[in-house]
Amino acid sequence: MNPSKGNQITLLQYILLIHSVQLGVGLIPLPGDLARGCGTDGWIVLIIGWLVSTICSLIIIQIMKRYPNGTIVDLLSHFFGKWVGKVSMVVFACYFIIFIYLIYHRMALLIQNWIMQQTSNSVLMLLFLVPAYMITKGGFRMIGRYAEVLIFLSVALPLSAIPLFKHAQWIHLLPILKHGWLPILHTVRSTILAFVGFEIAFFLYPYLEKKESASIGIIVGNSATLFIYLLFTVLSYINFSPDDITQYHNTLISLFKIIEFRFLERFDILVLSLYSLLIVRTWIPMLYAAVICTQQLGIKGQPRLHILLILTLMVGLTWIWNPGWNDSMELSSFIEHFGIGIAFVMPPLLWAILAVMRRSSRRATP
Amino acid sequence: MEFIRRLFKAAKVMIDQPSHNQQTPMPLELDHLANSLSMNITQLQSLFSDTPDLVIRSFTYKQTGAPAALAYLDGLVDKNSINNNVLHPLLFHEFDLADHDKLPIAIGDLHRLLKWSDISFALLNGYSVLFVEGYDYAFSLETQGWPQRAISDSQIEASLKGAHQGFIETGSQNIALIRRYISSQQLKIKELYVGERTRSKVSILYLEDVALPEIRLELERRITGLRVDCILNTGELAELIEDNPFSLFPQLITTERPDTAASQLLQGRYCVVVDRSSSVLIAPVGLAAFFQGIDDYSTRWPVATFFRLLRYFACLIAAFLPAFYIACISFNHELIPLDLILSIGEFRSAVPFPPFIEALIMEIMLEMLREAGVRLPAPIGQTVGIVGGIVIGQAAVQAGIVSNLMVVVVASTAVASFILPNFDMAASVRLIRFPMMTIASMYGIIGIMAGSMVIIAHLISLKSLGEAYSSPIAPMRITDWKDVFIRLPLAKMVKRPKSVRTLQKRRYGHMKQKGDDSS
Repeated sequence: MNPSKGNQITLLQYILLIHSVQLGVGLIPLPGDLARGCGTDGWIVLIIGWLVSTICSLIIIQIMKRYPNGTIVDLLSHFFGKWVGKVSMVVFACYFIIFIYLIYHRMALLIQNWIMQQTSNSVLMLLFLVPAYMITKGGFRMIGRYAEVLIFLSVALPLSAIPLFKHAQWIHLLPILKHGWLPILHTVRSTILAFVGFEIAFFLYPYLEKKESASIGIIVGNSATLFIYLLFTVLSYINFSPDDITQYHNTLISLFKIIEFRFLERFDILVLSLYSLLIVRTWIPMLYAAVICTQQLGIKGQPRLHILLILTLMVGLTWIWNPGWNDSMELSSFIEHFGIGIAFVMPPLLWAILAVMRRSSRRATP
Repeated sequence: MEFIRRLFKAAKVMIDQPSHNQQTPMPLELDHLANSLSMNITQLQSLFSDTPDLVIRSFTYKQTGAPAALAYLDGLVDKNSINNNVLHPLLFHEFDLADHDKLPIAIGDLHRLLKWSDISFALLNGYSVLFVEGYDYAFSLETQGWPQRAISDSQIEASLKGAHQGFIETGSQNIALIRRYISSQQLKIKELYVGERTRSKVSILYLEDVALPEIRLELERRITGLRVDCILNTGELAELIEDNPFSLFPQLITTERPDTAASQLLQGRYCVVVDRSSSVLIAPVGLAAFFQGIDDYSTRWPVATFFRLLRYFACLIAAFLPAFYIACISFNHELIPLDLILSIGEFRSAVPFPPFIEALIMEIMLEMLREAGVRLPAPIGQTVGIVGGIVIGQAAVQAGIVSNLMVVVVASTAVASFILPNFDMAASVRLIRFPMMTIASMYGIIGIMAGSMVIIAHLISLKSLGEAYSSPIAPMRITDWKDVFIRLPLAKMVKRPKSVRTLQKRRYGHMKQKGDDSS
């Protein structure tokens, strides 16, 4: 499958797509999870996570350079034969679809929890089905444009957090390394999921116009994510007391609840509803990537039909099964291993295998 | 899905192969003129039966003594020109002309016509036609002079500092108005004809060394592919050639201002002048172009920037404020501080309607008043304003039909929707309000978010002549932002906007002042 000229993305769109797949539902409980893991040293965890994910992203780009005109599944079919390609398609499609479902449903849960307690999850999911379908059917280019429009929102979010510096207690951050390194390393394992998302580069790379900037772009994308994570984590630490913070599940929303204006009572509701646009931005690129896989598996129908079908099935599943917070947590712990496998374990392995293959093929043809 | 596909197919039917613009085809031997005058006159009268405004003046051509006849349609010609420049020399003067084919007619544009189809076309378009005995062709004389109004200020696109000339209903005059602004050889004109029943002349104007030829080819393809009875107005043409006829948003600008047209031409866009219509079409345009007024370039740049930001803000207000009101009152009252919600509740306690119905009543009332103001003649139109002020005002509140906060909301949306410089865009924004209100009444603030996502999705997928509609914003082109949300000083706008793909990137001249080393 060769990406046509009409669906190429600019460097900015590529950066934004990688950044937006990472930044989503993961941010909301993140500060609380970090604090539960290792107290107020969470920011160190974030920097370590950023380092690891940047290294893995660069490895992904190196892999994709070997076969620049196709996605990862094309690359696998090219080097390892048709069946490996087919298996990888199934694996990627399943991974993405489960991931999408997790985020999509978690978004509905959050909205239901904080804003609309009377409305069922499936209805809330249905509300966002139409716009998600409209954007996704345009391919990565449309999704990139959507991300560009939401730049204003992404900038406004950190700006709206400025009032939170008013009552900051910087003393909470001290002493650094109060529990030593071990809890930090433990927490890295559990919060690494927040950085998962850069593996979308496996599918984005062939669509990129200027392929030489792919590495820079992915570093910038990761760093933007790190910046937002750090900002809100530190803000949570300096606004809540170290013991208090472990009590919150959705730390970010509780954080915005602190802000009050004379004319606006519950600022957190406004922020969450605006944030829901950003959450949609996380899973629509994955949705398109999943559809690329299902298309190549040879399932009948136009891509738009696949998109509609996947989304409708998800809403239908929610309607029948109606999973709650606990189910969502279970699903996320299940996908955690899957995600770490695909984003952090697979790239180095694949890279090593490809390097070995290259060397042996060179020896074979002296 | 099938139904929608069929709808689209029905929409595509209008655009198929290029037409040859053949009016009632005639057998070939009949289409040519005869040698004798009387036969030609008979043929002409049979062609134009039941046409009392066809004037045929028979006379003797003094130079040669041959009988001749002059035909024209009364009302489409300039009588003075016919009397003084055509009939007078033909009737009374003798010249020593070596060549008898030269006519002693003091008229600029003179053509020979060989076919009846050409003759009828010429007559219908205000030319007068001269038949002479013994000639198997006729002469068409440019004596057009139909009723047209004087060039005056545009009514709907008023400007404070721009020119006070608006387009009129004659294509050639409109082209002349644009030429007055761009006196360059590079301003080229491509003429096409549209319409099966009555052929309207459609001229595409462009700067040859700036505008991208691919876009022109696309524009020509769409215009020549039209199979329509006739086109009365530029708006019709715009709708027939735009990319997505089902969209709420206008994808092409129609303007009545020659200076706006010229400024768009200089940016590298194309301008389509339709004869008999007092507005021209600008293509391809992006969303941002609808928020740029011509006055922005002649006021101080900080002022222009302020007004432009005001327009974007007003657009948001006009589209979302009533929806936000409904969401806050009926769903998310926790957004509103307690003392405020208590006072609102006090006012609303008398109102029998739910917020959505209340808002709907007021908004529809407002739209009716606006429309009434447009339709009525000016002296009565004033009265509507006063009546409206009373209806959407204190009286309605005191009667307990609406709350006074609703009055504030409606009045703000009205004012906000009136400051958009482009009429089509303002109408679209006003229309978005209603679906937004509906979804807000069902799902509150989350509904508004979903609705705005649909709008964003729609805007980014729209195209204008195949170019991205949301161009300087998505795909983002930061260099174009000098003229989107803000307007930087003109000296900084050395390059033409990137979102209009042009051949020539830089404008002529470097616009530097002495001692100013900015580039």
